[in-house]
Amino acid sequence: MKEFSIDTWFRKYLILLLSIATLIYALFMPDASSMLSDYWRLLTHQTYLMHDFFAIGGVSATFLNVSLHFLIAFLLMRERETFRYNGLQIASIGIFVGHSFFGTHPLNFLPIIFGIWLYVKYTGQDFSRNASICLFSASNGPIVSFILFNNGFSFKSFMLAMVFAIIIGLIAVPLAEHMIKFHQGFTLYNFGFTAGIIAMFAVLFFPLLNYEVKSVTYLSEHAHTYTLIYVMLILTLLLVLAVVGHKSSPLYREEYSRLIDSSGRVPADFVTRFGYGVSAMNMFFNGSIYLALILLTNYPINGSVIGGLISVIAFSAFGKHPRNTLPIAVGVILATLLNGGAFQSQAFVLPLLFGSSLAPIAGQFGFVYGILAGFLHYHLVNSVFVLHLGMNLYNNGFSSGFVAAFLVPILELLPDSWVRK
Amino acid sequence: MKIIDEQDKAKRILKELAGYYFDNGICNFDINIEFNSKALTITIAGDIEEEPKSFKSLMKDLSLPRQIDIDEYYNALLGSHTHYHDDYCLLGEAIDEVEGKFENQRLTIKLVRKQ
Repeated sequence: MKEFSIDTWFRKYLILLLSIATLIYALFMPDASSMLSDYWRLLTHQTYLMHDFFAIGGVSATFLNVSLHFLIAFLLMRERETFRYNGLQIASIGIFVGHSFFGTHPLNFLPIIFGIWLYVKYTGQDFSRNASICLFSASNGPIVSFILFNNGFSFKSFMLAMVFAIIIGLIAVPLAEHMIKFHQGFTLYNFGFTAGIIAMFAVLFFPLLNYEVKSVTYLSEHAHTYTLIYVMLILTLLLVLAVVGHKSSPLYREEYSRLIDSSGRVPADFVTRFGYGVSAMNMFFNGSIYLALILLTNYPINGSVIGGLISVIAFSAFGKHPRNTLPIAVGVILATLLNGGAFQSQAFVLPLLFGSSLAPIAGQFGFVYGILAGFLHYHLVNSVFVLHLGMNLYNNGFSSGFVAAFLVPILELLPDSWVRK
Repeated sequence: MKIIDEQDKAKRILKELAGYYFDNGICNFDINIEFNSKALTITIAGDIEEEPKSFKSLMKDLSLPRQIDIDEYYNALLGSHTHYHDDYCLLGEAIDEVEGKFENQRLTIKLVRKQ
């Protein structure tokens, strides 16, 4: 089965096209005239949770940042001539771009990638094999920004930030590979959990350096229209890719049925297993469902929310589908109801979006246990924040690692008749 | 370090294959391994009266194209199969070639992983 029109040309240049298209989109924003000065403000600002870039730098500068993220992802991924984007790469690009709305920019993640490059050279590996991890590792970028600017920029703060960044890069790959054993692949955000561990240890040094992390929340409401249009454009693109894929594959429905039936436990590479067309359809469906859920809450799509939506879409090429994500959503909704929480709040929408990382639990064990996972996740996610002080953008990913590691051994004790086969 | 890594991978692949045979009630099987600087070749063969129902699904999973970055990143999961998990896609993405057949009540699988 060969999806000629997608596989030949788009696979090489789609990410670059998205970068260019996003830049053009940025230029059409109402604050485009001050894009560069706004972007400088964004680059020199703190970025730990929660700094919505729309609130810090405005709409145009934020989309410029997104465009740069697409460009850097393209440059990192194109090293291998025979490259064909698989599900993991699409997922990593998605979460990387998602974080560009509320935490990462080239100044704070490129030094970390340099650290990974040093690790790869030290171990004699091929750098292109670790391109996805480079993108995931950007989630610790706030540590770099914090050290650079917390006490004012200086040569000392620059050197210290670089030391932290390089160390993070050096340890990221081996840590990520080992952390999988903790949760056994039942959270899709393995690096989110790893980044949380890294951040947790990094902040231990902050008191020694006389650093104090003040709790802040910068959230935008004015970007909703632009973010909504942007997400809908991405969903439209996916629909087009799905339709093209459908026309070139006689087994489309059968393959999609198999995709939905899969558990989603990592590594659930939908692109390699089922093809681009089927994966694009899944990304469209899942993305649309979650967009609808967000719109139902009437909560404005700010930087973190669009970041979450893009991560759901991207990971729908690598583990997530409606059958295994919706139980998690039900669990989060139930937890919110029982706690008297508001649906129109960050405390609800972020666990709703990022909690879908626990999809493999629902996929493997069934609907009820997916609800349980979502329920536990909602309650745990606020507790783990204090461990890293917001220096890990993947707070929900960090939480999901604990939920998976706790639940799965218990669920595996259950009789076969009590769980989904 | 690379040879050690590849030997570690060979052990994990063996564990996956042995797990499949045990899970399908094949408790007596022969294993042949060739490991050199060019490739790892594993052949496993055991007797069973009927072809396992999961065999076609297994071959489909093992026929997936090799995905080096996935193989590297999720290395720790290879060999961690439980009876819940009948998905061998990670193993398929860790190897380059596979042949499988059921003939004369003997189930044979041959895998090749190039260095």
